[in-house]
Amino acid sequence: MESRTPFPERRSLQVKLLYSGTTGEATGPVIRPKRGILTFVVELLGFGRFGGFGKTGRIHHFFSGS
Amino acid sequence: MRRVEIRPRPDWAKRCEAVGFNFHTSGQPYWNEGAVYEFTVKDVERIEAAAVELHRLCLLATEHIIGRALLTQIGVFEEYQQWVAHSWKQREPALLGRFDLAYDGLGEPKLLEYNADTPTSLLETAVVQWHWLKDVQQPKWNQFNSAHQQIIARWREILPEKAFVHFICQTESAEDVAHVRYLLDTLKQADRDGTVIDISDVGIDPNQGVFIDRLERPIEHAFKLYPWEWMFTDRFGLELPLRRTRFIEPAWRTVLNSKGLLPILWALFPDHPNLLPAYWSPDPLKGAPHVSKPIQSREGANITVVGVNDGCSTSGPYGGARIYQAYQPLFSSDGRHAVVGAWMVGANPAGMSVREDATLITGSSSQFVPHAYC
Repeated sequence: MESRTPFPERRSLQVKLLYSGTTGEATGPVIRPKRGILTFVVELLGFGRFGGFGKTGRIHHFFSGS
Repeated sequence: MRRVEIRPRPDWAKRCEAVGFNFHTSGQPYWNEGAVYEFTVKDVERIEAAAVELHRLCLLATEHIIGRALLTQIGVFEEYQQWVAHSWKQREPALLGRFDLAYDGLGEPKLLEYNADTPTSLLETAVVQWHWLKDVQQPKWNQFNSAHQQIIARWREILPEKAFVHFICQTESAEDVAHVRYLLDTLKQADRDGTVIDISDVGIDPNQGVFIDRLERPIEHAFKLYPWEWMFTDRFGLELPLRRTRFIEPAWRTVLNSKGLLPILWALFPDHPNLLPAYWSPDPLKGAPHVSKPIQSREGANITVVGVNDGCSTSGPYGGARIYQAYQPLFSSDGRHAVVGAWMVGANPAGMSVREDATLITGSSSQFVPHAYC
């Protein structure tokens, strides 16, 4: 019976990550600029230049589902 | 195709965390390397061929939906239809998609749905299961997995050299942050740069033609891990057609992500071996086992299976129009039901993932199990 190795290129792939994943060496931490209380309230009320996305749906998955 | 129980790596949690996979467990395990789905070469070739074919059908269906003004039917609000059509006509480039397939190792893979807007479980697919394969050192095993390399190559194809990408997600989710940070990593390997910001940190400036971040930087390119249909109903939604920020995935992908795609595909390509009968009404499936799904729904929520054992359903927040799809048994072994994810990078098949569940509905708590083929 013929033996063959399909997708030989996939066998040799090396997944290289620049960061260790947990410390974010290359991608860096996620920094959220601080908002003043006034800005916070304005956005909460649905006004202002920020905060206009992210209100319709909030995360309700814990694990990947979509 | 078979499910084989194996011994997990003794330090599996540590090994997973070392590659950024820090959401492998929360009360119950999500990552399960106590088993492996073992495929044959023929299985993999069949799944790969199905992905190529389904991609072709999906593009034809998109052309049909936009050309025949069917966007309302699939759930796209009127205010965005012209913009979505423009995005399609411009062929704005896509990055990722995942076909969810029912495949039992015997017949043709059948499309359950297409996650074409915000497909997740990418880190697990592209990185974690690959490292697992290297660690278990089974010489006979290979893996259908070139996602990592293809994503890097795809960034180079679709972005100019000095592009800066804002990766937008809901940063309170560790999973979503890990997902976009992995993509940022691939972007850096493609010699481009970017940053991760929260979805609520996307802003508008009347003097700029693009969205901005809180540091007032223009957002020229944005990768968003936030569904289009949610953006459309958010307060800034109507700003989308007015601004030239280039989004990945592009707006036309909302067409493919809608489950309204499924009855349209079936009407266009009846009896296609990779499709399941699907309709806008349950009547054509009366008396036959079938599945009812809202056209805009995620994570296996609000799904009802009718006519199989006692039937089953899931709860969730999604209402609105529904579609009805013929029931297709999933591969089952050891009381687990498996859905195969066929990943696309651009127009190319790029790998495979397997999720399994004790119920017939794959949801957000279904386990990710690595795969291999030999």
